[in-house]
Amino acid sequence: MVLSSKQVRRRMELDVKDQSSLIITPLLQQKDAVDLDSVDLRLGSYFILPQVTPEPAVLPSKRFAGRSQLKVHVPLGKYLVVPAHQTVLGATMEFIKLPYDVSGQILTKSSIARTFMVIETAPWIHPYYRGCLTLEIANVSNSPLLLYPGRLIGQLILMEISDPVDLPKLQGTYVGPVFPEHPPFNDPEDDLVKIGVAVDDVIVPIFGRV
Amino acid sequence: MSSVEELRHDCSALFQFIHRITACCQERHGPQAYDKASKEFFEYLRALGDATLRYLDRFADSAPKDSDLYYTYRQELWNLRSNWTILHSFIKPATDADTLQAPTSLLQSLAYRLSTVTGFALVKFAVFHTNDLNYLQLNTNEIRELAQRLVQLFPDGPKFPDHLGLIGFPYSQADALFSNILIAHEMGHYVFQERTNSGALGKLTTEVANAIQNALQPNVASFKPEHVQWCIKTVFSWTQELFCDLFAVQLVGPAYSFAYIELFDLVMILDPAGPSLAHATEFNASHPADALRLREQFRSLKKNGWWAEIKTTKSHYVEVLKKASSIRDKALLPPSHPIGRQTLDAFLAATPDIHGAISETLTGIDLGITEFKQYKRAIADHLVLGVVPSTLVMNGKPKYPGMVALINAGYKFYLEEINDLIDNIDGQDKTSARVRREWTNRLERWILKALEDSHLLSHQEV
Repeated sequence: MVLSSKQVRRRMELDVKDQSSLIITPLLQQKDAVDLDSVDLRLGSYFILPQVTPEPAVLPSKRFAGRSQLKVHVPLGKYLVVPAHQTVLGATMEFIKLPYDVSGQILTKSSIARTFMVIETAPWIHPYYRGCLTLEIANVSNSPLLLYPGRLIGQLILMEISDPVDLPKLQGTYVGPVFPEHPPFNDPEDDLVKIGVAVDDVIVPIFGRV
Repeated sequence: MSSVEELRHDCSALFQFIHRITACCQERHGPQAYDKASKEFFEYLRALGDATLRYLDRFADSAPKDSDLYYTYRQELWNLRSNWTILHSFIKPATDADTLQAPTSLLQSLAYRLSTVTGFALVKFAVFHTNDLNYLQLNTNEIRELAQRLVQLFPDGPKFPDHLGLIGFPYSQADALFSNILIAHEMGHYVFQERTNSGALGKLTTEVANAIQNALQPNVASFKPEHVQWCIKTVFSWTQELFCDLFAVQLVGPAYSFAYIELFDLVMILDPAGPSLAHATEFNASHPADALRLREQFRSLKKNGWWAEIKTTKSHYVEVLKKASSIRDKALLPPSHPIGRQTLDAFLAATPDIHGAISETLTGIDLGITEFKQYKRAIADHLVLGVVPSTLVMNGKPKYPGMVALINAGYKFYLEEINDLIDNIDGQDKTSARVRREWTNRLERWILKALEDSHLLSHQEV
């Protein structure tokens, strides 16, 4: 069941210690931000841009650590140019704490989508999530597009889940990011050995070890 | 005598030298961004560079023919080179300190808070990196004087921007919150210099001079003039340093003292064996002893009501403050100098006046204690759950804590409850320094984010 604006506001009035509480901060222009069944979200100021690496290819592994990525800060009032057919990582300005019994989905604001910009390549948000939402922002148009941090970019739809699970502890990997972060990876052999692939059978190119 | 042609060569060489320097502060089209203060600083340098280069372009045309006058005239090239050599030393550190490589939201919050102090409404700070693990403020008076020297050569040169301070911080600490709280001390230097320029610290200057006179009085004729000069210079230097500590304590709160203890590892003064405490009681020629500085910070915290709020904080840092508070004057060690003792006595006699000057400087500023009391628990409740504490819900209503509450409640949480945060996260070993560092880093980011949010929430159109 999608939460209505009333239910969203009611949950936002709960104390943080209440498992059912919802936090969205900073919720600027609060009166307009909560729509009938969604909450408008703004673009944050931090981005990760893809870079061409000196290696022949990028291997997502423990050593990945953003080697093919460039972190940038675009202060409010400035803009970022996203070239045609390129994708950048950004984050919402709002920090979100989801209740234990609510999932979320972030969608591109329709006005943004009509410029051929999409943000919802990983749109699902699990209960208990807390952090600024990482956005994979793709410019699928044929022209460069400008992104202004602080402008509206997405809308958050919240859905109550039936029979929610009580988690005694939070899952650590992504607790509390406030800007897009370089993703953590295992080495490929570490992942594949878990499904029965022999370590010796995993071929890793030499440049992946450097 | 040298020919005009040779002078043209020398002008050209200097032109190239300065042109290369100013090229480093041209507007960039790369990924770096700068705040308004840094951009203003770069604009100033560019304008100064342009004026210098215009001057140099035709410098040789007016060279006197007379041999003696020629070298006097040429001296200006040497002056230009030496002034630009000074400027050169911090252009790169300033361009390195872009908004991603500086604690931008903390700087913005501190500058905003300082702007509420009478006389500093328009203040702004450009930042630069330092190689030393130290914080510093470039003496704005010296930069202005340098600018003035250049402008005397070419009257179309730009004036150094009003209300602009320059602060350096260690390049490695760009994303830190807690250690960078020491930037408040450097802002204190700017305030001290500006208030000295305006004559607002005249009373303090007189009191310090009287204290020096009293300390030297019985034997003043027997001291060498250079020793007396050293004494005066040293007491004023210590006075400024202590002024800045007390300024920072009042601007930020006890988090400043905690950050100070941590950065300089003053926990060692708790060692009952004593050698570290002895070391902390030694004054040097530029700074008062750490033990004295902490003692005076403690006195300020106690006087303004902060101590009552933090004395029960479960942390050895509070014990350090308590220990420092009990240090007596006679335990303090002067620098090794023929009149070191008298110098120290003069300074100690002046310390109440430094407290007084701070009260006067910060008249009317809200110390933030009430807000801290009101929000500290709610802020900790958010942090322990991994939530940025910029919007607190209290009795069903949203509340937006300000900088002092966020920084001090955040520091208190760091000292007392970081384990509780780690306990809330699956698979984390709180006995590991690596794990604790990771969560401390997150904690700092959350508070920095809350500072950024706080600024937006308090400035939005309603």
